Amino acid sequence: MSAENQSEGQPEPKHEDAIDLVIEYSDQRQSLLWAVEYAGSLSCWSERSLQEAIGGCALAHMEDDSPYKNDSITEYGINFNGHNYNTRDALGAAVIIYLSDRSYRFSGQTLGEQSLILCGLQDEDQAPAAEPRKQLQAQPAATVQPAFYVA
Amino acid sequence: MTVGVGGERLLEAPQQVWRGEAEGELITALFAGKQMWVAASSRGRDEAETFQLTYLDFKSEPLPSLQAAKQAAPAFARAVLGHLQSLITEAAPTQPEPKPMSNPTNTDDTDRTNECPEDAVALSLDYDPAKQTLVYRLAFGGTSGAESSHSLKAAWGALMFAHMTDDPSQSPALQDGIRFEGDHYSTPETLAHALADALCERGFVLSLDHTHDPTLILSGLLPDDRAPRVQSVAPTQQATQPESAKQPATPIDRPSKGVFGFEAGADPYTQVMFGQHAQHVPAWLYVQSQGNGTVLFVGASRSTGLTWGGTKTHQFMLGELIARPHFVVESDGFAGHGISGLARADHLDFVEAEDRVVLCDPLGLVATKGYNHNMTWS
Repeated sequence: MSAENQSEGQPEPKHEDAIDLVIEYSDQRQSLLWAVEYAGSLSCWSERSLQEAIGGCALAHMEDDSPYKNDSITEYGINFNGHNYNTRDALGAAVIIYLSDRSYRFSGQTLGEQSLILCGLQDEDQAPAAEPRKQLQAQPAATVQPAFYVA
Repeated sequence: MTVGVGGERLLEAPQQVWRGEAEGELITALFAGKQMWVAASSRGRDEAETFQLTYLDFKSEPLPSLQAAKQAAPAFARAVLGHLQSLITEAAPTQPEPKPMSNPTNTDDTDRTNECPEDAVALSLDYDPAKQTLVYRLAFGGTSGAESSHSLKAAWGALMFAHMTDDPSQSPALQDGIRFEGDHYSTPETLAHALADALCERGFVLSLDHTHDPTLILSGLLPDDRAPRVQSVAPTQQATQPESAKQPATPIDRPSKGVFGFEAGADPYTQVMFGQHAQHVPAWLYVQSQGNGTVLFVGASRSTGLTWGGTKTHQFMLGELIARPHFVVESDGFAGHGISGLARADHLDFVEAEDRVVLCDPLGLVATKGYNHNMTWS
Protein backbone atom coordinates (compact mmCIF):
# COMPACT_ATOMS: atom_id res chain seq x y z
CA MET A 1 0.00 0.00 0.00
CA SER A 2 1.28 3.38 -0.79
CA ALA A 3 -0.04 6.46 0.90
CA GLU A 4 2.47 8.45 -1.12
CA ASN A 5 0.93 7.32 -4.38
CA GLN A 6 -2.51 8.33 -3.21
CA SER A 7 -1.38 11.74 -2.16
CA GLU A 8 -0.18 12.11 -5.74
CA GLY A 9 -3.63 11.21 -7.06
CA GLN A 10 -3.00 7.59 -8.00
CA PRO A 11 -5.57 5.38 -6.32
CA GLU A 12 -4.69 1.76 -5.78
CA PRO A 13 -6.78 -1.02 -7.29
CA LYS A 14 -9.40 -2.59 -5.09
CA HIS A 15 -7.96 -4.76 -2.31
CA GLU A 16 -9.80 -7.99 -1.59
CA ASP A 17 -9.15 -7.87 2.16
CA ALA A 18 -10.29 -4.31 2.60
CA ILE A 19 -13.63 -3.05 3.83
CA ASP A 20 -15.98 -1.97 1.05
CA LEU A 21 -17.80 1.32 1.22
CA VAL A 22 -21.09 1.68 -0.62
CA ILE A 23 -22.97 4.96 -0.67
CA GLU A 24 -26.66 4.72 -1.38
CA TYR A 25 -29.54 7.09 -1.33
CA SER A 26 -32.60 5.97 0.61
CA ASP A 27 -35.75 7.14 -1.11
CA GLN A 28 -37.75 6.10 1.90
CA ARG A 29 -35.68 8.06 4.42
CA GLN A 30 -34.63 10.80 2.00
CA SER A 31 -31.08 10.54 3.15
CA LEU A 32 -27.69 9.09 2.29
CA LEU A 33 -26.76 5.69 3.61
CA TRP A 34 -23.10 5.01 4.31
CA ALA A 35 -22.81 1.22 4.21
CA VAL A 36 -19.67 -0.77 4.90
CA GLU A 37 -19.23 -4.41 4.02
CA TYR A 38 -16.50 -6.90 4.67
CA ALA A 39 -16.02 -10.13 2.74
CA GLY A 40 -19.45 -9.63 1.28
CA SER A 41 -21.18 -10.58 4.48
CA LEU A 42 -20.54 -8.22 7.32
CA SER A 43 -22.22 -4.91 7.04
CA CYS A 44 -23.19 -1.92 9.03
CA TRP A 45 -24.59 1.35 7.91
CA SER A 46 -25.27 4.83 9.10
CA GLU A 47 -27.34 7.67 7.82
CA ARG A 48 -25.02 10.13 9.47
CA SER A 49 -21.47 9.41 8.41
CA LEU A 50 -18.94 6.92 7.17
CA GLN A 51 -17.01 7.11 10.40
CA GLU A 52 -20.11 6.07 12.32
CA ALA A 53 -20.66 3.13 9.98
CA ILE A 54 -17.02 2.11 10.42
CA GLY A 55 -17.27 2.43 14.21
CA GLY A 56 -20.50 0.45 14.18
CA CYS A 57 -18.90 -2.34 12.19
CA ALA A 58 -15.99 -2.44 14.62
CA LEU A 59 -18.28 -2.55 17.65
CA ALA A 60 -20.45 -5.23 16.08
CA HIS A 61 -17.41 -7.47 15.83
CA MET A 62 -15.78 -6.34 19.05
CA GLU A 63 -15.70 -9.79 20.56
CA ASP A 64 -15.73 -12.28 17.74
CA ASP A 65 -12.98 -14.14 15.96
CA SER A 66 -14.19 -13.44 12.46
CA PRO A 67 -11.69 -12.60 9.73
CA TYR A 68 -12.65 -8.99 10.28
CA LYS A 69 -10.18 -7.25 12.50
CA ASN A 70 -10.46 -3.81 13.91
CA ASP A 71 -7.18 -2.86 12.36
CA SER A 72 -8.45 -3.69 8.85
CA ILE A 73 -8.62 -0.04 7.94
CA THR A 74 -5.06 0.65 8.97
CA GLU A 75 -3.80 -2.45 7.23
CA TYR A 76 -5.87 -2.60 4.07
CA GLY A 77 -7.61 0.74 3.72
CA ILE A 78 -11.11 1.06 2.29
CA ASN A 79 -12.43 0.04 -1.12
CA PHE A 80 -14.71 2.55 -2.78
CA ASN A 81 -16.03 2.72 -6.30
CA GLY A 82 -13.56 0.17 -7.61
CA HIS A 83 -10.44 1.57 -5.97
CA ASN A 84 -8.65 1.23 -2.68
CA TYR A 85 -7.91 4.23 -0.49
CA ASN A 86 -5.64 4.32 2.52
CA THR A 87 -5.67 7.96 3.49
CA ARG A 88 -8.53 10.10 4.69
CA ASP A 89 -7.76 12.83 2.20
CA ALA A 90 -7.73 10.49 -0.79
CA LEU A 91 -10.93 8.76 0.28
CA GLY A 92 -12.63 12.07 1.07
CA ALA A 93 -11.71 13.46 -2.34
CA ALA A 94 -13.06 10.35 -4.07
CA VAL A 95 -16.33 10.55 -2.15
CA ILE A 96 -16.76 14.21 -3.00
CA ILE A 97 -16.17 13.55 -6.69
CA TYR A 98 -18.61 10.65 -6.59
CA LEU A 99 -21.34 12.70 -4.93
CA SER A 100 -20.66 15.75 -7.08
CA ASP A 101 -21.26 13.60 -10.15
CA ARG A 102 -24.67 12.93 -8.64
CA SER A 103 -25.55 16.59 -8.30
CA TYR A 104 -24.46 17.15 -4.71
CA ARG A 105 -22.97 20.57 -4.09
CA PHE A 106 -20.45 21.17 -1.36
CA SER A 107 -19.53 24.13 0.74
CA GLY A 108 -16.18 25.83 0.58
CA GLN A 109 -15.35 24.40 3.98
CA THR A 110 -15.89 20.82 2.83
CA LEU A 111 -14.03 21.37 -0.41
CA GLY A 112 -11.19 22.98 1.53
CA GLU A 113 -10.82 19.98 3.83
CA GLN A 114 -12.23 17.09 1.89
CA SER A 115 -11.75 14.49 4.61
CA LEU A 116 -14.56 16.25 6.49
CA ILE A 117 -16.99 14.42 4.23
CA LEU A 118 -16.15 11.24 6.14
CA CYS A 119 -17.96 12.86 9.08
CA GLY A 120 -21.08 13.21 6.92
CA LEU A 121 -22.67 16.08 5.06
CA GLN A 122 -22.28 19.47 6.67
CA ASP A 123 -25.11 21.97 7.06
CA GLU A 124 -23.93 23.99 4.08
CA ASP A 125 -23.59 21.01 1.75
CA GLN A 126 -26.52 20.66 -0.61
CA ALA A 127 -28.20 17.45 -1.64
CA PRO A 128 -29.70 17.36 -5.15
CA ALA A 129 -33.16 18.81 -5.26
CA ALA A 130 -34.40 16.94 -8.31
CA GLU A 131 -37.51 14.79 -7.81
CA PRO A 132 -37.93 11.93 -7.78
CA ARG A 133 -34.58 11.03 -6.35
CA LYS A 134 -32.97 7.88 -7.57
CA GLN A 135 -30.69 5.45 -5.92
CA LEU A 136 -27.10 6.41 -6.44
CA GLN A 137 -25.93 2.85 -6.76
CA ALA A 138 -27.16 0.32 -9.27
CA GLN A 139 -26.68 -2.30 -6.57
CA PRO A 140 -30.07 -3.12 -5.03
CA ALA A 141 -30.53 -2.07 -1.44
CA ALA A 142 -31.31 -5.65 -0.45
CA THR A 143 -27.65 -6.57 -0.83
CA VAL A 144 -26.87 -4.43 2.18
CA GLN A 145 -27.72 -6.70 5.05
CA PRO A 146 -29.62 -5.25 7.98
CA ALA A 147 -26.99 -4.18 10.44
CA PHE A 148 -26.72 -5.44 13.96
CA TYR A 149 -26.12 -1.92 15.07
CA VAL A 150 -28.05 0.69 13.22
CA ALA A 151 -27.19 4.33 13.51
CA MET B 1 -20.11 -7.65 39.72
CA THR B 2 -22.17 -4.54 39.24
CA VAL B 3 -25.81 -3.93 39.92
CA GLY B 4 -28.21 -2.03 37.71
CA VAL B 5 -30.06 1.07 38.78
CA GLY B 6 -33.29 -0.76 39.58
CA GLY B 7 -31.51 -3.46 41.55
CA GLU B 8 -29.40 -0.90 43.35
CA ARG B 9 -32.50 0.88 44.62
CA LEU B 10 -33.99 -2.34 45.91
CA LEU B 11 -30.76 -3.32 47.65
CA GLU B 12 -30.40 0.09 49.23
CA ALA B 13 -33.97 0.04 50.57
CA PRO B 14 -34.45 -1.19 54.16
CA GLN B 15 -34.11 -4.97 54.24
CA GLN B 16 -36.19 -7.42 56.30
CA VAL B 17 -38.50 -4.66 57.46
CA TRP B 18 -42.11 -5.73 57.25
CA ARG B 19 -44.65 -3.38 55.73
CA GLY B 20 -48.39 -3.54 55.17
CA GLU B 21 -49.59 -4.34 58.67
CA ALA B 22 -52.91 -2.56 58.19
CA GLU B 23 -56.10 -4.49 57.55
CA GLY B 24 -56.32 -5.75 54.00
CA GLU B 25 -52.76 -4.87 53.03
CA LEU B 26 -50.28 -7.39 51.75
CA ILE B 27 -47.49 -7.91 54.26
CA THR B 28 -44.14 -7.68 52.53
CA ALA B 29 -40.44 -7.27 53.21
CA LEU B 30 -37.29 -7.21 51.13
CA PHE B 31 -34.76 -9.98 51.57
CA ALA B 32 -31.53 -9.50 49.60
CA GLY B 33 -33.36 -6.96 47.48
CA LYS B 34 -36.13 -9.38 46.54
CA GLN B 35 -39.65 -9.15 47.83
CA MET B 36 -41.15 -11.73 50.19
CA TRP B 37 -44.76 -11.62 51.23
CA VAL B 38 -47.06 -13.36 53.70
CA ALA B 39 -50.49 -14.60 52.67
CA ALA B 40 -53.12 -15.70 55.19
CA SER B 41 -55.49 -18.53 54.39
CA SER B 42 -57.90 -20.95 56.07
CA ARG B 43 -59.06 -24.18 54.48
CA GLY B 44 -62.36 -24.49 56.27
CA ARG B 45 -64.63 -22.95 58.81
CA ASP B 46 -63.23 -25.05 61.64
CA GLU B 47 -59.60 -24.73 60.72
CA ALA B 48 -57.40 -22.04 62.10
CA GLU B 49 -55.97 -19.40 59.79
CA THR B 50 -52.48 -20.19 58.54
CA PHE B 51 -49.77 -18.01 57.05
CA GLN B 52 -47.62 -18.84 54.08
CA LEU B 53 -44.44 -17.13 52.90
CA THR B 54 -43.78 -16.55 49.20
CA TYR B 55 -40.29 -15.69 47.94
CA LEU B 56 -38.98 -15.90 44.38
CA ASP B 57 -41.96 -18.04 43.36
CA PHE B 58 -41.36 -20.52 46.21
CA LYS B 59 -43.93 -21.01 48.97
CA SER B 60 -43.30 -22.13 52.53
CA GLU B 61 -45.24 -24.64 54.56
CA PRO B 62 -48.31 -23.11 56.25
CA LEU B 63 -47.30 -21.49 59.51
CA PRO B 64 -49.58 -21.08 62.51
CA SER B 65 -49.27 -17.35 63.01
CA LEU B 66 -48.05 -14.19 61.38
CA GLN B 67 -45.35 -13.90 64.00
CA ALA B 68 -44.18 -17.43 63.27
CA ALA B 69 -44.07 -16.61 59.57
CA LYS B 70 -41.93 -13.55 60.22
CA GLN B 71 -39.60 -15.58 62.42
CA ALA B 72 -39.25 -18.23 59.74
CA ALA B 73 -38.71 -15.75 56.93
CA PRO B 74 -34.88 -15.36 57.06
CA ALA B 75 -34.32 -19.11 57.09
CA PHE B 76 -36.86 -19.54 54.31
CA ALA B 77 -35.10 -16.92 52.16
CA ARG B 78 -31.76 -18.67 52.70
CA ALA B 79 -33.32 -22.02 51.85
CA VAL B 80 -34.78 -20.67 48.61
CA LEU B 81 -31.56 -19.00 47.54
CA GLY B 82 -29.56 -22.09 48.47
CA HIS B 83 -31.90 -24.29 46.47
CA LEU B 84 -31.64 -22.00 43.45
CA GLN B 85 -27.88 -22.07 43.75
CA SER B 86 -27.90 -25.87 43.78
CA LEU B 87 -29.83 -25.88 40.52
CA ILE B 88 -26.98 -24.20 38.68
CA THR B 89 -24.49 -26.60 37.18
CA GLU B 90 -21.03 -25.89 35.89
CA ALA B 91 -20.70 -25.20 32.19
CA ALA B 92 -19.75 -28.29 30.23
CA PRO B 93 -16.11 -28.05 29.12
CA THR B 94 -17.03 -28.92 25.55
CA GLN B 95 -19.48 -26.06 25.26
CA PRO B 96 -18.20 -23.12 23.28
CA GLU B 97 -17.58 -19.99 25.23
CA PRO B 98 -20.49 -17.66 24.59
CA LYS B 99 -18.28 -14.62 24.83
CA PRO B 100 -14.64 -15.05 23.88
CA MET B 101 -13.45 -12.43 26.29
CA SER B 102 -9.92 -11.76 27.35
CA ASN B 103 -10.75 -13.00 30.85
CA PRO B 104 -12.21 -16.50 30.49
CA THR B 105 -13.04 -16.85 34.18
CA ASN B 106 -15.11 -13.73 34.25
CA THR B 107 -18.79 -14.28 34.92
CA ASP B 108 -19.60 -10.67 35.42
CA ASP B 109 -20.66 -8.01 32.97
CA THR B 110 -17.20 -6.53 33.09
CA ASP B 111 -13.66 -7.72 33.02
CA ARG B 112 -11.76 -6.72 36.11
CA THR B 113 -9.76 -3.58 35.77
CA ASN B 114 -6.54 -5.38 36.63
CA GLU B 115 -7.18 -7.73 33.69
CA CYS B 116 -7.60 -4.83 31.30
CA PRO B 117 -4.93 -4.51 28.61
CA GLU B 118 -2.95 -1.36 29.21
CA ASP B 119 -3.50 -0.12 25.68
CA ALA B 120 -7.28 -0.48 25.77
CA VAL B 121 -9.09 2.63 24.61
CA ALA B 122 -10.64 4.67 27.43
CA LEU B 123 -14.13 6.10 27.04
CA SER B 124 -15.57 9.02 28.97
CA LEU B 125 -18.90 10.82 28.69
CA ASP B 126 -19.32 14.53 29.11
CA TYR B 127 -22.69 16.20 29.20
CA ASP B 128 -23.10 19.90 28.62
CA PRO B 129 -26.51 20.84 30.06
CA ALA B 130 -26.39 24.29 28.46
CA LYS B 131 -26.00 22.90 24.96
CA GLN B 132 -27.88 19.70 25.80
CA THR B 133 -25.04 17.83 24.19
CA LEU B 134 -23.59 14.51 25.20
CA VAL B 135 -20.02 13.99 24.04
CA TYR B 136 -18.48 10.55 23.67
CA ARG B 137 -14.73 10.92 24.14
CA LEU B 138 -12.15 8.22 23.44
CA ALA B 139 -8.53 8.35 24.57
CA PHE B 140 -5.82 6.06 23.27
CA GLY B 141 -2.24 5.72 24.35
CA GLY B 142 -2.23 8.99 26.25
CA THR B 143 -1.45 10.95 23.11
CA SER B 144 -4.38 10.62 20.76
CA GLY B 145 -8.11 10.51 20.91
CA ALA B 146 -11.37 11.25 19.18
CA GLU B 147 -14.76 12.47 20.17
CA SER B 148 -18.24 12.73 18.80
CA SER B 149 -21.40 14.41 19.96
CA HIS B 150 -23.44 11.86 18.01
CA SER B 151 -22.48 8.40 19.15
CA LEU B 152 -19.81 6.10 20.42
CA LYS B 153 -19.73 4.49 16.99
CA ALA B 154 -18.89 7.79 15.37
CA ALA B 155 -16.19 8.45 17.95
CA TRP B 156 -14.68 5.03 17.33
CA GLY B 157 -14.79 5.51 13.58
CA ALA B 158 -13.07 8.87 13.97
CA LEU B 159 -10.38 7.25 16.12
CA MET B 160 -9.79 4.59 13.50
CA PHE B 161 -9.59 7.15 10.71
CA ALA B 162 -7.12 9.14 12.80
CA HIS B 163 -4.86 6.09 12.83
CA MET B 164 -5.59 5.07 9.25
CA THR B 165 -2.05 5.37 7.98
CA ASP B 166 -0.35 4.08 11.12
CA ASP B 167 1.38 0.82 11.74
CA PRO B 168 -1.53 -1.58 12.47
CA SER B 169 0.22 -2.88 15.57
CA GLN B 170 0.21 0.63 17.02
CA SER B 171 -3.38 1.48 16.19
CA PRO B 172 -6.37 1.13 18.54
CA ALA B 173 -8.16 -2.20 18.41
CA LEU B 174 -11.45 -3.11 19.96
CA GLN B 175 -10.20 -6.62 20.62
CA ASP B 176 -8.55 -5.05 23.65
CA GLY B 177 -11.94 -3.86 24.88
CA ILE B 178 -12.86 -0.45 26.19
CA ARG B 179 -12.32 1.02 29.61
CA PHE B 180 -15.19 3.01 31.02
CA GLU B 181 -15.39 4.46 34.52
CA GLY B 182 -12.82 2.13 35.96
CA ASP B 183 -14.14 -1.09 34.46
CA HIS B 184 -13.17 -3.00 31.37
CA TYR B 185 -15.73 -4.10 28.79
CA SER B 186 -15.06 -6.54 26.01
CA THR B 187 -18.51 -7.06 24.53
CA PRO B 188 -20.82 -4.48 22.98
CA GLU B 189 -23.70 -5.72 25.12
CA THR B 190 -21.96 -5.22 28.47
CA LEU B 191 -20.58 -1.89 27.36
CA ALA B 192 -24.00 -0.75 26.20
CA HIS B 193 -25.60 -1.75 29.50
CA ALA B 194 -22.91 0.17 31.38
CA LEU B 195 -23.55 3.23 29.23
CA ALA B 196 -27.29 2.96 29.76
CA ASP B 197 -26.82 2.63 33.52
CA ALA B 198 -24.38 5.55 33.57
CA LEU B 199 -26.83 7.76 31.69
CA CYS B 200 -29.71 6.78 33.98
CA GLU B 201 -27.56 7.56 36.99
CA ARG B 202 -26.97 11.01 35.55
CA GLY B 203 -30.67 11.67 35.24
CA PHE B 204 -31.33 10.69 31.65
CA VAL B 205 -34.64 8.98 30.98
CA LEU B 206 -34.11 6.55 28.15
CA SER B 207 -36.69 5.81 25.52
CA LEU B 208 -38.48 2.51 25.07
CA ASP B 209 -36.06 1.57 22.32
CA HIS B 210 -33.07 1.93 24.59
CA THR B 211 -34.80 0.35 27.55
CA HIS B 212 -35.54 -2.75 25.52
CA ASP B 213 -32.34 -2.88 23.53
CA PRO B 214 -29.49 -1.06 25.29
CA THR B 215 -27.06 -1.93 22.49
CA LEU B 216 -28.76 0.80 20.50
CA ILE B 217 -27.17 3.25 22.94
CA LEU B 218 -23.93 2.69 21.01
CA SER B 219 -25.63 4.65 18.23
CA GLY B 220 -26.23 7.59 20.53
CA LEU B 221 -29.30 9.20 22.00
CA LEU B 222 -32.66 9.06 20.26
CA PRO B 223 -35.20 11.88 20.01
CA ASP B 224 -37.31 10.16 22.65
CA ASP B 225 -34.47 10.04 25.17
CA ARG B 226 -34.77 12.76 27.76
CA ALA B 227 -31.77 14.64 29.03
CA PRO B 228 -31.55 15.43 32.74
CA ARG B 229 -33.33 18.50 33.98
CA VAL B 230 -30.87 19.19 36.76
CA GLN B 231 -28.98 22.46 36.68
CA SER B 232 -25.69 20.87 35.83
CA VAL B 233 -24.22 17.47 35.49
CA ALA B 234 -20.57 17.14 36.26
CA PRO B 235 -18.43 15.39 33.69
CA THR B 236 -18.02 11.71 34.29
CA GLN B 237 -14.87 10.50 35.94
CA GLN B 238 -11.96 9.67 33.73
CA ALA B 239 -11.74 5.99 33.07
CA THR B 240 -8.45 5.73 34.86
CA GLN B 241 -9.89 6.89 38.15
CA PRO B 242 -10.54 4.24 40.77
CA GLU B 243 -14.04 2.90 41.32
CA SER B 244 -14.17 4.53 44.74
CA ALA B 245 -13.71 7.95 43.18
CA LYS B 246 -16.97 7.76 41.28
CA GLN B 247 -19.51 10.43 41.96
CA PRO B 248 -22.61 9.28 43.78
CA ALA B 249 -25.49 8.51 41.50
CA THR B 250 -27.92 11.31 40.85
CA PRO B 251 -30.94 10.60 43.03
CA ILE B 252 -33.96 9.47 41.11
CA ASP B 253 -36.38 12.31 40.80
CA ARG B 254 -39.62 11.14 42.34
CA PRO B 255 -42.54 13.51 42.72
CA SER B 256 -43.87 13.90 46.23
CA LYS B 257 -47.50 13.48 47.11
CA GLY B 258 -49.77 16.44 46.75
CA VAL B 259 -47.51 18.33 44.39
CA PHE B 260 -49.44 21.14 42.79
CA GLY B 261 -48.63 22.02 39.22
CA PHE B 262 -46.27 20.07 37.04
CA GLU B 263 -45.00 16.98 38.74
CA ALA B 264 -41.28 16.82 39.11
CA GLY B 265 -39.67 14.51 36.62
CA ALA B 266 -42.72 14.34 34.40
CA ASP B 267 -43.05 15.76 30.94
CA PRO B 268 -44.84 19.14 30.92
CA TYR B 269 -46.05 18.54 27.38
CA THR B 270 -47.77 15.36 28.47
CA GLN B 271 -49.29 17.13 31.45
CA VAL B 272 -50.54 20.03 29.35
CA MET B 273 -52.13 17.56 26.98
CA PHE B 274 -53.54 15.06 29.44
CA GLY B 275 -53.54 16.55 32.90
CA GLN B 276 -51.35 17.23 35.87
CA HIS B 277 -50.83 13.61 36.86
CA ALA B 278 -50.35 12.14 33.39
CA GLN B 279 -47.21 10.09 32.87
CA HIS B 280 -45.50 9.37 29.57
CA VAL B 281 -43.31 6.36 30.14
CA PRO B 282 -41.77 3.53 28.14
CA ALA B 283 -43.65 0.32 28.76
CA TRP B 284 -44.56 -3.08 27.46
CA LEU B 285 -47.92 -4.85 27.72
CA TYR B 286 -49.34 -8.26 27.09
CA VAL B 287 -53.02 -8.10 26.23
CA GLN B 288 -55.59 -10.91 26.26
CA SER B 289 -59.14 -10.57 25.10
CA GLN B 290 -61.76 -11.79 27.54
CA GLY B 291 -64.32 -12.16 24.79
CA ASN B 292 -66.95 -10.01 26.43
CA GLY B 293 -65.80 -6.67 25.27
CA THR B 294 -63.01 -6.41 27.80
CA VAL B 295 -59.32 -7.20 27.77
CA LEU B 296 -56.87 -8.10 30.49
CA PHE B 297 -53.34 -6.80 30.37
CA VAL B 298 -50.13 -7.05 32.31
CA GLY B 299 -47.05 -5.02 31.74
CA ALA B 300 -44.12 -3.17 33.18
CA SER B 301 -42.11 -0.02 32.87
CA ARG B 302 -38.75 1.07 34.15
CA SER B 303 -40.14 4.44 35.07
CA THR B 304 -40.84 5.14 38.71
CA GLY B 305 -43.20 7.90 37.61
CA LEU B 306 -45.94 5.29 37.56
CA THR B 307 -45.84 5.07 41.35
CA TRP B 308 -47.04 8.69 41.45
CA GLY B 309 -44.71 9.31 44.36
CA GLY B 310 -46.24 6.56 46.48
CA THR B 311 -44.09 4.62 48.91
CA LYS B 312 -46.27 1.62 49.72
CA THR B 313 -45.97 -1.76 48.07
CA HIS B 314 -48.68 -1.32 45.49
CA GLN B 315 -50.51 1.51 43.77
CA PHE B 316 -53.83 1.13 41.97
CA MET B 317 -54.76 3.50 39.17
CA LEU B 318 -58.21 4.08 37.79
CA GLY B 319 -58.14 6.31 34.77
CA GLU B 320 -57.26 6.20 31.12
CA LEU B 321 -54.50 4.58 29.16
CA ILE B 322 -53.23 5.96 25.87
CA ALA B 323 -51.17 3.27 24.20
CA ARG B 324 -48.59 4.35 21.61
CA PRO B 325 -47.01 1.18 20.25
CA HIS B 326 -43.59 1.09 18.71
CA PHE B 327 -44.60 -2.33 17.45
CA VAL B 328 -47.32 -4.89 18.16
CA VAL B 329 -47.02 -8.60 17.46
CA GLU B 330 -49.46 -11.38 18.24
CA SER B 331 -49.23 -15.13 18.69
CA ASP B 332 -51.29 -18.15 19.78
CA GLY B 333 -48.16 -19.96 20.83
CA PHE B 334 -48.56 -19.19 24.50
CA ALA B 335 -52.24 -20.01 24.90
CA GLY B 336 -52.79 -21.67 28.26
CA HIS B 337 -49.88 -19.97 29.98
CA GLY B 338 -52.14 -17.31 31.42
CA ILE B 339 -51.46 -13.67 30.93
CA SER B 340 -49.84 -13.34 34.35
CA GLY B 341 -47.42 -16.09 33.33
CA LEU B 342 -46.47 -14.08 30.29
CA ALA B 343 -45.42 -11.24 32.55
CA ARG B 344 -42.37 -13.29 33.50
CA ALA B 345 -41.83 -14.76 30.06
CA ASP B 346 -38.89 -14.02 27.82
CA HIS B 347 -40.31 -11.45 25.45
CA LEU B 348 -37.95 -12.60 22.76
CA ASP B 349 -39.74 -15.97 22.69
CA PHE B 350 -42.98 -14.18 22.04
CA VAL B 351 -41.58 -11.84 19.42
CA GLU B 352 -39.96 -14.76 17.63
CA ALA B 353 -42.94 -17.13 17.89
CA GLU B 354 -43.40 -19.22 14.76
CA ASP B 355 -46.94 -17.98 14.19
CA ARG B 356 -46.01 -14.40 14.97
CA VAL B 357 -47.97 -11.78 13.12
CA VAL B 358 -46.82 -8.18 13.09
CA LEU B 359 -49.91 -6.05 13.61
CA CYS B 360 -48.08 -2.77 13.37
CA ASP B 361 -44.45 -1.69 13.18
CA PRO B 362 -44.46 2.07 12.65
CA LEU B 363 -40.78 2.51 13.48
CA GLY B 364 -39.62 -0.49 11.50
CA LEU B 365 -38.17 -2.05 14.66
CA VAL B 366 -39.13 -5.61 13.87
CA ALA B 367 -38.49 -5.25 10.16
CA THR B 368 -35.14 -3.52 10.06
CA LYS B 369 -33.29 -3.52 13.34
CA GLY B 370 -32.28 -7.13 13.52
CA TYR B 371 -34.40 -7.82 16.57
CA ASN B 372 -34.53 -11.46 15.63
CA HIS B 373 -30.82 -11.68 16.23
CA ASN B 374 -29.84 -9.20 18.82
CA MET B 375 -32.79 -8.17 20.96
CA THR B 376 -32.18 -8.01 24.65
CA TRP B 377 -34.87 -7.15 27.11
CA SER B 378 -34.70 -5.70 30.52
